[in-house]
Amino acid sequence: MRSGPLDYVLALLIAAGFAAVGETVLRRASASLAQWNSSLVAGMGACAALLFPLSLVAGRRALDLTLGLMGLCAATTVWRRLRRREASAGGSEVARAAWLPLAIAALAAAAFAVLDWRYNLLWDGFAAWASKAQRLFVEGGLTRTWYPGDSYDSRYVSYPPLVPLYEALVSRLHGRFDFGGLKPVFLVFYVSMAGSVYAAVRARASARLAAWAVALVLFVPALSTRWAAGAYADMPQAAVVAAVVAAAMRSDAAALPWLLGALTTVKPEGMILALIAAVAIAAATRLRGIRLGAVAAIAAFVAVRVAYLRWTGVREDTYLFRSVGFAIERAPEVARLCLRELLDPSAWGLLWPAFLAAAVVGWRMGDAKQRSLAAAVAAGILAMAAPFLFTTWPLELHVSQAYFRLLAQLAPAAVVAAVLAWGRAWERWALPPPAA
Amino acid sequence: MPPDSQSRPGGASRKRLALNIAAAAVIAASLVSGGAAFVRDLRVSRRAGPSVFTDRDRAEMSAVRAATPPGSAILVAFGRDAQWTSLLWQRGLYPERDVIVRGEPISAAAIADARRRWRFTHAVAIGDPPPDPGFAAHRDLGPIPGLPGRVRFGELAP
Repeated sequence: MRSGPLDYVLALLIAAGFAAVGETVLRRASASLAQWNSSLVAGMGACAALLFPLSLVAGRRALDLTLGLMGLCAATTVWRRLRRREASAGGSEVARAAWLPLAIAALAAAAFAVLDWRYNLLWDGFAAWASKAQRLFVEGGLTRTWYPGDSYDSRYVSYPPLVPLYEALVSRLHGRFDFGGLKPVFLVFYVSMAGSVYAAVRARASARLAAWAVALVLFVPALSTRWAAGAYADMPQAAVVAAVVAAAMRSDAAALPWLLGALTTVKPEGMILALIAAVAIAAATRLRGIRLGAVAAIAAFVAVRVAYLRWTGVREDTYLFRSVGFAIERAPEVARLCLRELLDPSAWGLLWPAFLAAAVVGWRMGDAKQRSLAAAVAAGILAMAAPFLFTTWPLELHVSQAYFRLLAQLAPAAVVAAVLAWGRAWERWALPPPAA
Repeated sequence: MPPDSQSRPGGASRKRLALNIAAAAVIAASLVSGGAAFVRDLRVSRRAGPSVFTDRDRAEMSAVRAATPPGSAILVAFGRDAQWTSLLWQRGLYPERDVIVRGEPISAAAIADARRRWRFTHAVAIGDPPPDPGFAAHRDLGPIPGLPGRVRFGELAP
């Protein structure tokens, strides 16, 4: 059956639990929606990373222990808030300054909500992510095996656990596992992504520009329609990317290590994204103010991911390194196919050409953060294409089925880079002529 | 030193006009591509059933549940274009029954090997036509929802 009201309520409850865990690990009470959103994603990452060691230690009770941890953190958070009685921050500037882009964004969000509710699970959404959630729900923790039998899709067992964990936790609260009741979690990721994009641009530009950035992101088909609504994990990965960009733009040094770590908990390629983001942030800050604790937190996430991969022992057979010569020989064809995807107007509008132009403008006019963001997105575009040099699938089929979903993970960062560059150029050219 | 845009108000205004045109083009393209995708998918989603499992899937699985004891293993052998359906069966019967999935080409040796390991006595065959995993007898459970082909269920020959 389709998701009912209770499924939505439970997904929100679990989101509140994630945010409470986030506030606990960040050791702060969120003073704004942007901070709460950072806490939400940080908490998601922390819980997902913790699931593997918990599964080793507590076996079938790992899922319940995660729920218990969330409850404990939530109780602590509520207690802290009651003691402090903080006034909530007002946010009415948004509606006044940017009703048109916000209306467009709201339209997109409403359409996604309908699609998310109506669509069934599509291939990976069912066969990989929701199935991993079913296994997690039944087993109570992560296991080394997939469904009984030497199943040909057993590689899914090594996939990172954030999305299945969220789905399994909602099911646990519900007391039953139903493939039809998992969709509300994607609405949470979607709203989080929109909030992060807004916060990222708002940190350095007007509310109006921030609202336009949200509208542009929510109109990216790969983030708002079929695959996102079909419960694939690319949009959730994009939500974490957006949270990293927001924290970087807001100079939220406390949240950044946890959010970088969270990148490794959604999809396998999250490790590459985390590496690119870490290098970009290091370049933007020139390593100033980077604490040992932050490095240790990121290292812990990576260590958990690597240990989990080794523990499952799944052999990678989609990509095979044959020789450097073979990869070089393939490179022009890969470049041609990927470029075709990037320039497909029905998939992206003019997003990637706009990003390219903005990257040039941002590089010339922007500050260190804008340059690093542009460079990181460009590096991501190339890094996401590189595995096709080694694919064992028919090349054209693999690129057409996978590259747009990989690009979708970068789309929020590309939009932020483009909008900020536009704003920078506008400001630059708005300056009055200097006095003679 | 060449004059830059800041020293030429006319140049700056032209650049801002260009910026506005570029922004309008990007926004318009985004709304067109995203809007078209929304409209297309909203149409498609109107035809979506309430669950990934159709009523027919559920009825066929119920028939197998009724004929096999909980905790038993069952072979699901699938033919061309029936991979998705085999996954539905594996997830749909889990965890009460272990579903061992094998796709074509299915050899008698491979079935025997799996049978020694999992000790299944019954099989479901899905496809157009359904493969024969070595049925002693079988019955037709009905069509594969949304696809050509049939679903068969029966006991395997000893």
